[in-house]
Amino acid sequence: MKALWLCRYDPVNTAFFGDAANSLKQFDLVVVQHLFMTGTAQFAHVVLPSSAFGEEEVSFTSSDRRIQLARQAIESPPGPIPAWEQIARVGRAMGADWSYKTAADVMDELGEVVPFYSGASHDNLAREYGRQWPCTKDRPLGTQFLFADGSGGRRFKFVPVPKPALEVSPKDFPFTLVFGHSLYYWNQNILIQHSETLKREYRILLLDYPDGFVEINTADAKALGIRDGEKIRLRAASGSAVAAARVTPEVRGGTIFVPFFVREVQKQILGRAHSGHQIMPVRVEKETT
Amino acid sequence: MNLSPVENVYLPRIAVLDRVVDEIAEVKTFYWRFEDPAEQAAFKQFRPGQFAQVSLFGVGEFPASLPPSPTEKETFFTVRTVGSCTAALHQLKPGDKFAVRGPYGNGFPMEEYYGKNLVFVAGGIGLIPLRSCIIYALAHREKYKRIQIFLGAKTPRDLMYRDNLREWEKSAGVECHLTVDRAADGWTGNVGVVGSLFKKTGVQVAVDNTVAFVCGPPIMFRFVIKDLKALGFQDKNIVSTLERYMKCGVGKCGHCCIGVAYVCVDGPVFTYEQIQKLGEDI
Amino acid sequence: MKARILDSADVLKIVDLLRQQDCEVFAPFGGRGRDTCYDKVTDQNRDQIQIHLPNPYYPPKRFIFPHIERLMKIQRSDGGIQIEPTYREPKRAIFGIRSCDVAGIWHLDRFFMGRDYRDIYYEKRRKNMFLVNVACTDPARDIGEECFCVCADTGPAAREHFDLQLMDLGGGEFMAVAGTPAGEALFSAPFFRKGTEAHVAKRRAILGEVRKSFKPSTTSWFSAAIRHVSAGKIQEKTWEDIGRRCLECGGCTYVCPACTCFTVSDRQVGPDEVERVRIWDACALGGFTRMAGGHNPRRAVHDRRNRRFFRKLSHYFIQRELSMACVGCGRCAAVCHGDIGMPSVVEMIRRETAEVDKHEPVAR
Repeated sequence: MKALWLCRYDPVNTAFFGDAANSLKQFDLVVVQHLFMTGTAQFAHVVLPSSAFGEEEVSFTSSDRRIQLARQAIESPPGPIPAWEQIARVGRAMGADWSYKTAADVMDELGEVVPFYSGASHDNLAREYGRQWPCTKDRPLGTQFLFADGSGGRRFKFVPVPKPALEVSPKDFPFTLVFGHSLYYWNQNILIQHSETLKREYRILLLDYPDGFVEINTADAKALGIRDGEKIRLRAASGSAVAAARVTPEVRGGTIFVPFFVREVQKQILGRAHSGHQIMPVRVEKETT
Repeated sequence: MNLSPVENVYLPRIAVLDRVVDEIAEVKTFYWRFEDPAEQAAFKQFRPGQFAQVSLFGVGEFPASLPPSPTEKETFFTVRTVGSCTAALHQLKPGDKFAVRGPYGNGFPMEEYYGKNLVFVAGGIGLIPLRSCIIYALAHREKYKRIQIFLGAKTPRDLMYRDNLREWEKSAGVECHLTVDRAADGWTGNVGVVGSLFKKTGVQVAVDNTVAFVCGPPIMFRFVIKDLKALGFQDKNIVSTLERYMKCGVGKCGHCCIGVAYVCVDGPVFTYEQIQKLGEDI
Repeated sequence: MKARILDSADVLKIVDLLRQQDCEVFAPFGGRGRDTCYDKVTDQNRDQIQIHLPNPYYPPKRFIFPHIERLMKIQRSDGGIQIEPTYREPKRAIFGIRSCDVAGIWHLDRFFMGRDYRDIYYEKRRKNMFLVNVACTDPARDIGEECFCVCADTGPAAREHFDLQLMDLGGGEFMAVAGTPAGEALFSAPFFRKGTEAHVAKRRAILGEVRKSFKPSTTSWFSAAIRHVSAGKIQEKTWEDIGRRCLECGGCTYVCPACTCFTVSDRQVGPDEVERVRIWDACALGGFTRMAGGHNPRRAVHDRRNRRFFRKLSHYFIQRELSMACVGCGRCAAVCHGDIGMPSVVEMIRRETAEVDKHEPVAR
């Protein structure tokens, strides 16, 4: 692969268990369409500023299969245009016959190519809070539950997954690491930067824990003699890391919560070839230095 | 709706910084005056224990205690760098402009204390708001009975308002006792927490017909209250001034609202009896 | 209060009258599903105004107390600073405001204009605001699952604080009640006519019926909850239970028609110019009380929740403002992901009280 075109995707900040930044450096051409100058856009050769939500008519599909239509509410400031229009213009410049007039035209073509979107015209989507695919011409209201009628051999089958064998004894590593988003830090925080109150909350976290933090349950911390803000060492089989402890009843006993944005802890503790989706047993020690 | 014209309570007035004096590490005193002499005259009507909102260009506004007494000529703030606004104030040079509005809050009812003994207990920069009361009391010396000052600091270097301290130590009208947590620089005075001064030989804390002013960090506050109560002080005769995050100073923004009080308008001065009813940490 | 009758077909003519008086009019519109919102009335959307619809979540208080409002411009030049307050006092009307939201605005009036320090920004907007209240009479469309104005004594038909009140009498007729001389002045329009005793009787009958269409709710225990909160009788454990369910999103404050808290921020708008703005703030957020230097007297979530409900329910504050900071609109219940809107909190307090009931008879 030589070139990569990313439409509103910011893997540098959202793909937590790979090294997107390094991968992007390998490409001859990276094109990024985004509203903000994201971490990924820093690696782009071409950045196309696209319209914001509410500045264009656009549809999007959520993970519950819901296709929703968002109507234009305000005009874009001069410059940015909808992402689909940027793609169409580049296509035309390269000789393609992409003469869409509106986002609805694009959606109609989608419906021709993707059978289970064939009923998802903008007109149809506008009537409700969206439709769940399959949304076809003969099922325009969409499908709330897949395979609800019990037919077909393509139903989902739930099978028990064998509990991964731990390479270490739970006695030695009694805590489990949990990775996730922090309440006031999502991705690059590009949106939070634009809200005074949320920005304040985020800044306070950094003032209270200047080097980031990991969260530990109050009872666990008490048992280990760890006080809020104290440095603790997390030791796993694959590596170890030091971080400030944020003592809170908001995490469950026996778990250590590591916010995604505390990158160093993640890197040091996971080691190289880790997907991050395995159970990660750790031991917690007071850091004495 | 017909309403009479109302002044803009959020509008700060331009002030000029005259000079800056280093107090202790990270703490400086900023002498200033309003650009408009009429504003200055109006502001000078403040009471000890009140505070003002200080605006720094492009950074924001913060509440600052008023360490001067209304009986003094000059107006000034003594401020430690803790956040972005206080840091911006520390950057200013004489002649620079900033903005101030106030005074706000209830202040200490110094007239109600006429005829009483006054005991001032301050820890660290807790002396900033109490300085106003002390100077005020000394300026009206005949109105009060005994005046005692107990002042604690981490080290001798952390003692502020040194000129005042020297004066108070020498003055016949006031008993001034100092202590530090850790001696250094040839310190020959008392070493220990501020409460240890109460038990020193030769010290007799006035308890009857006495008001105790307590101001300092939360931990010092808790211990001093304990000590004072052991001496026989009643909760209603212990007064302090509370600090809260605040944005408006006039009871609207809601940040400083605790229990049944807005610290900015109902406080910042409360008796210990009231503080307990507020039901929140100091 | 003077009243008049008008045909349903003429109701929107009131909007036209106001617009002819150079008044910006905001009215409720429907969207997809349950979505409704207030929007500025234009020639294009005028016919889409809806009289009966679920109350918009985003409260109309923002037309008087904006979500984000500039207070002043601060400029720097030649070593000096100029500060210029920026006032906006557009002539405005809210058409179709619900009774609960009218009570909310009354609370804001008391809070911002009723004490020692008056808020000039609020006052300037408020004195140019005209309120056309619509009483909730349609159980299917006006009254939601979470509504408890009957318990908060603010609805379904406001008794005061509006300029004009409209009520759908059915049969193609509306009754208009004037709450102020400005409201009464509108009665000179030709489409108003005098009513009869029968109309008044009908109004009374409708209100009696509507009151019955509210969901039987735990908020009937509302006033007892006020008593318990005021007396400081609520156990710490109850606040902890409430705190545990709070996700600290602040949603309850942003939809509340009676919340008043704001933060102030200076933002750069030019090399030598900043604007000072105030922005709605939420007591659910940890930064609401954190001081520079790190001390936060209200660090635990349950302390912050305790704060919110104490501020809204305690007698002390009700007397201080002579109005109550909860108007029974039920929005907090609708938006809360942790189910600790006002009705649920009242229920949790009720249950706690039942648990600690010491008067249970003992079988001997």
